[in-house]
Amino acid sequence: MDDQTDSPDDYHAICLRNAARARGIATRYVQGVYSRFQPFPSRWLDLAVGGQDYLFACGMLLVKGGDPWRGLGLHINEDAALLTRDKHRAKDFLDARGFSTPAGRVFRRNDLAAALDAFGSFAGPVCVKPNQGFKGELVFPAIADRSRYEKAVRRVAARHQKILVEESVAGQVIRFFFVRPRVVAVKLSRPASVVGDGNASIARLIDLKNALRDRRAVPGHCNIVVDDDLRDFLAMSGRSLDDVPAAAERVFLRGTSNGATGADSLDCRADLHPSYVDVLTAACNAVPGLNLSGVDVMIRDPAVPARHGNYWILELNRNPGLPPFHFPWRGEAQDVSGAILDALERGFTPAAASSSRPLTTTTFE
Amino acid sequence: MTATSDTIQANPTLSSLDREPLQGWMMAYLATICGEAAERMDPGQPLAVYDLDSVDAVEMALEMEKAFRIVLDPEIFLDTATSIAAIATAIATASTATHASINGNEPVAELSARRPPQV
Repeated sequence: MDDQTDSPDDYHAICLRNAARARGIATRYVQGVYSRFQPFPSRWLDLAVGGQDYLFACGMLLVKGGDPWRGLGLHINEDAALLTRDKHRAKDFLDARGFSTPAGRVFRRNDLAAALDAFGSFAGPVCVKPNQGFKGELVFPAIADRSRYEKAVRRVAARHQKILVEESVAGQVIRFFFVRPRVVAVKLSRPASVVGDGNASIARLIDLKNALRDRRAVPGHCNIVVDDDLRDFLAMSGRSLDDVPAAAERVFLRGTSNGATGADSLDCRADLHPSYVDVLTAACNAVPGLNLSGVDVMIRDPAVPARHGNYWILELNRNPGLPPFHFPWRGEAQDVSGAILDALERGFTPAAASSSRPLTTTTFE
Repeated sequence: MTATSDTIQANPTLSSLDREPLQGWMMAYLATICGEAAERMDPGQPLAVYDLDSVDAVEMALEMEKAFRIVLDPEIFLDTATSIAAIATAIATASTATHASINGNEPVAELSARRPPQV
């Protein structure tokens, strides 16, 4: 594959490259490894914007050669690394500044007993997930019984060092795409679901939806995989794959809202009260070094104005995906790639060096 | 790749660092986050026994940078095969070698574990 050929494995890069082309910005693909502990991505979009070279792949933006340890580059959110990697720490940070987050506790797996014992300390259903997970992997929401809880904790502990247990909050997951200093796009992330026709079983409706997925081939929208977790999620609501939902009844199949788990990305701008954009803009700007992020927020009723306790900030994604905004399942595209390039063109100026940490820090504008 | 003096790059402004304080600081730090007594921990054990995640590793590197006024690759503590003793030796060796080759006594040091080949 030459340095001008797009790879279908990285639609994020294709989105940014198309936006760059529209602005007359030259691009090429190069090979490189960001971390010896993270071999992928290995193919990067290389572009120069505003007098600075950048590398981009799979949602990750690097200032080329900008890191002090002589690697590929400095992550665009490097100074927010601890908050973007650590879900619990991010929530504590935001909670202390008046933003609403779900209450929770984090446990190390080498103290598994403490994690298992914690179930009784929560008043209602809980969500169990890795403190550093991504793409909805090993997220178990709405757990109300101890046996499911213990199973979820053990499954997370088998793969991750830290287990996050938090109150399970209900509503709709909205992703806010932040390019400092603004929220530039929003979308509803609807968990994998099917709509009944009064005749077909849930299993058949999944097949039909996957067939539609295959026909439309919308980037960022994966097929719904039927596995034990899906069956278990249905069982929690007393259903099975053989059930026949009523006509127009929507049946949710998972509790996670990631494209990789079969979720739909929907343009929700018309349905979202503008106060949420104000709240999330303030929250993101409160995080030092956060320049580019996809922030997931559970909102009880998006039409109702934001107030503390009717929304919960779930996490700050450090490598936010672009395709779901450019290619929604329903609604108009939102040009997040253009917003990134606009910010880079305005200038990406190194800030004054910190006295305690002599690294180059970077901020938009 | 492990943390050896070959993989740690020293800045010409580096001042000499002793191995013992470096090792002592790392053991105390790990004891705190792991809930163990530092004197019961073996600095020769591989980092794997502490079960650090990347947040732990990044934070530990940041704190060590502040404590010793050095710059470390945040991935230095992610290498589960290496040990605290080896990291302390590597940093001290790199700092001593550089310090011996210069006349200045500037306080700011820079130690960067080399990352994979560039683009």
